[in-house]
Amino acid sequence: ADVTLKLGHAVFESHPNHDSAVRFKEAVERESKGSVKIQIYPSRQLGDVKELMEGVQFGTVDMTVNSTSALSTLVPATDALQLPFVIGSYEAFAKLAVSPEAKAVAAGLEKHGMIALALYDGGQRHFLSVKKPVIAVEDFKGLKTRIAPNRLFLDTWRAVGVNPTPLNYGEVYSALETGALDAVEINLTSIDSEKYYEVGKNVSLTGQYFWPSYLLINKAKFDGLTAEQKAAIRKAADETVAPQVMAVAELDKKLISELKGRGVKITEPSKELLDALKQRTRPVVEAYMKKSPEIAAFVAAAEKLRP
Amino acid sequence: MVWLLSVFAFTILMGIPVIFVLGISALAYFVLTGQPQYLLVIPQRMFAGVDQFILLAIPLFVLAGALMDTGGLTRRLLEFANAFVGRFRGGTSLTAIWGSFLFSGISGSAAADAAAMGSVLIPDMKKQGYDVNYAAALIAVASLMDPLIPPSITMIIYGALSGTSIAKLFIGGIVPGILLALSLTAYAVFIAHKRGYPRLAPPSLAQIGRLTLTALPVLFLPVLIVVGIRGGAFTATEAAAIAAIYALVVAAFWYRVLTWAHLRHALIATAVISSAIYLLIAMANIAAFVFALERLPQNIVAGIQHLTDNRVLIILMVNLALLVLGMFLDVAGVLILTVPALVGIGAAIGMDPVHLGVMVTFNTIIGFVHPPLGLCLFIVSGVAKSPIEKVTMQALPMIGIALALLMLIAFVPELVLFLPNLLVK
Amino acid sequence: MGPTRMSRHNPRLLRAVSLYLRALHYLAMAGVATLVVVAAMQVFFRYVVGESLFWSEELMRSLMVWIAFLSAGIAYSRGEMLGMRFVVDGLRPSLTAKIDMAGRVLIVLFLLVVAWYGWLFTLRTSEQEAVSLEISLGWLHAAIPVGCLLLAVHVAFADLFRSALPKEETSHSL
Ligand code: NA
Ligand code: NA
Repeated sequence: ADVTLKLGHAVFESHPNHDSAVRFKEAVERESKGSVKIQIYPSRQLGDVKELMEGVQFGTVDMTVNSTSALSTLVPATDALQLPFVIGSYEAFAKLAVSPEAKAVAAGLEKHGMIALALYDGGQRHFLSVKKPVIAVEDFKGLKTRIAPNRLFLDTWRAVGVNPTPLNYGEVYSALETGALDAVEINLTSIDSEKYYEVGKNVSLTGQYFWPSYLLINKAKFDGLTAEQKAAIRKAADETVAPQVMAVAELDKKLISELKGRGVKITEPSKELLDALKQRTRPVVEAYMKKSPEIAAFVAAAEKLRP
Repeated sequence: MVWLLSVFAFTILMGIPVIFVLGISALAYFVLTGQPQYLLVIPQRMFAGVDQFILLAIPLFVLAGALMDTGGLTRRLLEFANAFVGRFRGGTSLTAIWGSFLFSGISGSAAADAAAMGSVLIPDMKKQGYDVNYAAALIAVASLMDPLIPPSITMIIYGALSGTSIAKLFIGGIVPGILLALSLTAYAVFIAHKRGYPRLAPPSLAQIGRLTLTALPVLFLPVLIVVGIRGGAFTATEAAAIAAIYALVVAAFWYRVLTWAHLRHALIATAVISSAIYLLIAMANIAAFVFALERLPQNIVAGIQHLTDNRVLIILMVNLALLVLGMFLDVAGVLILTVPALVGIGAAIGMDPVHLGVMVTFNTIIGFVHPPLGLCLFIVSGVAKSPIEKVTMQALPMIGIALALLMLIAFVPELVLFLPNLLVK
Repeated sequence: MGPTRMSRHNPRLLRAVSLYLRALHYLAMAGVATLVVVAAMQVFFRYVVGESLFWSEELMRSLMVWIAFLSAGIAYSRGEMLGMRFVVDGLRPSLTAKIDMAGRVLIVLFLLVVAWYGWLFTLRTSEQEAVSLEISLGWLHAAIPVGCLLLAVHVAFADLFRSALPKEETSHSL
């Protein structure tokens, strides 16, 4: 029987996650010859990150494209995907996303009633500062830096030396403007869509980690589909990963030139700075590798891909 | 959708509190449309609706207002205003307006304003020969300045629902607030001359100095809030906590009037008032889920665009629809149900989000003073011990003034946007 | 909703309810006070000390959710939850009383359903951890079933709870 699946996400339609959802919808409707249809509910219509994840778990939302970081309190191995300075490039991310090591990390979701069909990306994370650009590793010291509220990010940014501040996302713009915050670690699409470039003119392309999203489906829903439908969904999920990830890479290039045009000072970090950052955060990576074999295996696979 | 609306209409006519009407309608929708799997969404949506940092400003500003009031800070504010405007004809009615204006800078809610001003001023004005219904009506309509002038609980709710910058909304409300104060002043002066209301003896310069000095710590609070936020010490939400602590310290150690009973009363009032607002937001978040499932906001936007693409007509229709809804729902209820569609309409006609937000705020708060649900009318008629119909009759011309101002703001965006554009890059 | 006379209720029962209400009041007071203190600490540690607190934001949000749901019963008993009364109040008093009774039955049924599903929701999310507090999310979500259950009791026995409410707290609120 034909089926229509409700896919919710928590971002505006300009965000890469919406692009991921649209790519998947088009691919699956083509692969299944219309037997599987996707109805997209953008912009938190069916709930924010947490509710969408719970919704897929309970079966009240069929599918979602949702930040993986929200899942690390449920499946700790998920932290593998965002360890600092482990994945070097979008090309490497696209390869890792479909690797057996990544699938092993995602397998932990099944006992919570969810299947991760694909790992997309929402944009590599960089560093935006208000007063001056960060050139040397000492420049990070004490900067009030907004981080997403997550243990891994806290550990990472403490190691870097900033004053990690888990301020509410909605207050970041005005906090940067007034000086309640000095900096934010963020992706270029958000700098653009949230207009952070109006209040912070220095962006260092530190690329500390990616901001991956899972394409999740409720397990019972998936198991109830016909074999052909399942195959079409799997195929559509797999084939959209590389194009989606590389589209974000292209988008980043475009945004860099646009932001430069708006007077934002964008700097490539020096090799010394990157080495220093890697060195400072290495103990964090090692500590998390000890936490779970899936994390250790993922890091090993990622390091094989580094030049 | 038909199910939802019929249960909604039926339960609201039964007089069931709006909080429960929203939840019962959504529950009935899930059951009657054969989608019981969504029952698990009810608690989830309720939790998510209120688990928002920005909403913490509500209890904190309510607490600041309660401490101001029980700590006697309100009275000092009024004496200060009186020293300057009391000498004109209808002096105490002008004190009501400008005292309320000053109070707006420290309080976040019109209801707090109406209760505070009403309990101090209505007895005074009655003694001086004012028509008690007029006094009550004036104070009720003046209390609308409170949610226009920062801080404002209504704007916090609007910002949280729409994703509009609360800082910009706050600043955008200042000019409309001042315009309301000025037009009410003109009306009060007119009435005072017509009915021969008294002027008060002007205080001596020394008295003015003394009253100013006494009121100084209260007048300093808005300055502290603005400087603290602009200086990066705290965010708009955190400012609410600073305001509460400041009010506590001033009442306890400067004026030395704060007792344990005051504190107790203020803390409990805060919990209870915030609880009612939080539950309303929680329940409305369930209804919002139903609307999303039914794609209602998109359909409304499409419907309006189908009807007309005339910008002026759309803005008029939006305002009319909001005013009508305001007759059945309270302010937060109107906002919660309409903001998703409003944001869509605003984007479609290219209206600035801050302009839209201030216009919608102004429109919905008029619901505080128009029948049948006008909360501030209930409060002042309670204080005045006068039937609400009589107070409403006196309020009608002033509601007319507020509506005229609303139209001015709707079609002259510069009135709203001038200050935020000047102050916020 | 009908006249309220102290004598209608068993004094023992009334005393027990008073005790419960007093405990609830103290919880609410302590909760709001804690909220203010933690908010001030958050500012102090970020702005003055330069070591932002990691847990304060989540703690405040969760605390206020609990305060709101625990205080809902008091809010109802104090008449803070308004309805559109002008239609029913215009009817014959005996009819109004019947409609009010039906309304309360509906509210109680609704709250019991929410409490039950809230309980399931709490159980099913209890394996998840709160991000910074590092306790089970179940402790946070439990505010919904607990609050709705208490509120249902307040609505079902509206007269009793209103009679037992401390006098000063029924005074005109802000
Ligand atoms: Na006011
Ligand atoms: Na105000």
